Parts: sequence; structure tokens; C-alpha cells
Amino acid sequence: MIYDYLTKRIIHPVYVIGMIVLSATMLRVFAIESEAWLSIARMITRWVT
Amino acid sequence: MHYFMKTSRVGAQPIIRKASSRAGKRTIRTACTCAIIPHDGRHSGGFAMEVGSRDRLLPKRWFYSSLSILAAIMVAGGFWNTYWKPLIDGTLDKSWVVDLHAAVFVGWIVLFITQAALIFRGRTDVHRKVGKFGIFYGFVIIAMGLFVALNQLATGVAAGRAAEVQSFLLIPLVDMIIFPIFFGAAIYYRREPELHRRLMLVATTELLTAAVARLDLDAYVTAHWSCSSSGWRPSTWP
Repeated sequence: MIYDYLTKRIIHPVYVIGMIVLSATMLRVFAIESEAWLSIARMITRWVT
Repeated sequence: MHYFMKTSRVGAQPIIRKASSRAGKRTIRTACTCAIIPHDGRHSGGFAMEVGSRDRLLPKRWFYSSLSILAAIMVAGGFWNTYWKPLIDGTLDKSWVVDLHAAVFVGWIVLFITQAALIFRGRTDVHRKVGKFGIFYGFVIIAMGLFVALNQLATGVAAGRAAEVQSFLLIPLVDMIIFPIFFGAAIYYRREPELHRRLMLVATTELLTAAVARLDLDAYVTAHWSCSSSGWRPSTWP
């Protein structure tokens, strides 16, 4: 992304989308203890075990 | 020694077919690279195919090759304490599933480096052949990621750590949702180098989050650097 900016003065849309998506996935650490996720996880657990 | 240009399947972007001995490749390829007409950038956000001599493209090739090496270093560093060091010491106590998972994912990094190296060397023809295997390997990565995630869940529940492993399950599952999206897009746009290389980079970066999360930089800094009134300095300095 920095390489693109330095060489072309523009950031490729793939990097912009990728950065947004990867940053958004970091937020999952706040969701791992949520009841919504745990209910899904328990459902998967019943299916796996 | 003859090269001829043929319009690709996508229609807007010519590709070069090789029909010569290796001896004349460099000269001819340079000439052909200069002659490539940039496509309309319809799918690449205005980033048309690179036009220029081989020498002009070298910094870009160096850049992507260097990034692939950096990815390998991050995997080595991230899993050093939890996997590689115990493996070398002979004290590794992981299940065969984890060992297989490590082997498959390291294989992806090796493939990533190989593909970047092939482009760096200008062997696009070999890159495309290896890429067919890479498509299959990408599906193996997804299957393996899901299998390990569910295996760790079952193992953890059996060991009485249900709450812990159920919480953690979100991490690998999200990885295995995001990776296929970028990987699939990279395959779809495989004939558009500017898009393809960036999509593959983002897809591989997604896989690296597990290694990055395990990088114990704080411990490294504490062990090798000290803070004094004059600022941070290596511990070995007098």
C-alpha cells in the first residue's frame, strides 16, 4: 500500500478494501465472549462432538 | 526465435506466447513488454498493466519477492516459541493434526515465495503452471483450516475447556471466511496481474494474522533493549 502510494500517488482499491476487511476482523476479539457468538459456538460444538 | 501476441480470453489485454529458445528470451521479452498496450483498467481501479522495460519492472518484482520472504520470517518468528523451538529441541507435544496443519500452511508460504520468485525471474509461464496447483492448494488450506478449528474445538471440549475453545473458535472461522474471498477473487482475476498479485498478498496477509498475534515483541524488547533516561537502547550496550 505504501509502495503504491510512493510510486503512483494512489492506493489500489484492493489494498483499501483489504485494509478495511482485515481491520474489521480484528474486532472479532471483542465478539468472542458475546452471548450471540457463544450460542453459535455451542451449536457447532453439538454438531462436532 | 519468435514471439507472437495473442488476445487473451478477457479480450482487452494481450498476452505473450513464447515460441522461442531461451537464448533470445530476454531481448525479445523486453521488446514485447514495451509493446504491450495497457488495457482499459476496467477491473483494476485505474491501475493499468505495467508498461516498461524489464529493468523498470525490477523494483516492483523485488518488492513482492521481499514481501513473500517477510511473510516467511513472520511465520518463523510468530510460531517460534510455540512450535519451531520445541520442534528443534525435540520437546514438541502437539497432535498430528496440528503438525499437518503446520506443514500445509508452511507449504502455502513456500508456494507464495516460489510464485513471487518465478515472477521476479520473469518465468510467468512456469508461474501459471504452478498456479494451477496453487488453486488446488488454496482449497486444501481452507479445508485444513476448518478441520483444525473444529478438531481443536472437539479436543478442548473433551479436555474440559469448552468455554475457552468455543470463544476462540471465532478466530479461525473468520480467517477461513476472509481468506477464500480474497483467494477466490485472485483466481478470478488471475489474468489481470495488478489485481491478482494484490489480492494474493491480502489473502496471504489474512493467513499471517495467526503468526502476527503470536509475535512476542514485548518480551523481545524487554530481553534485548533497556530503557534509560536517554531512551531505549540495546541491553548489550555499555
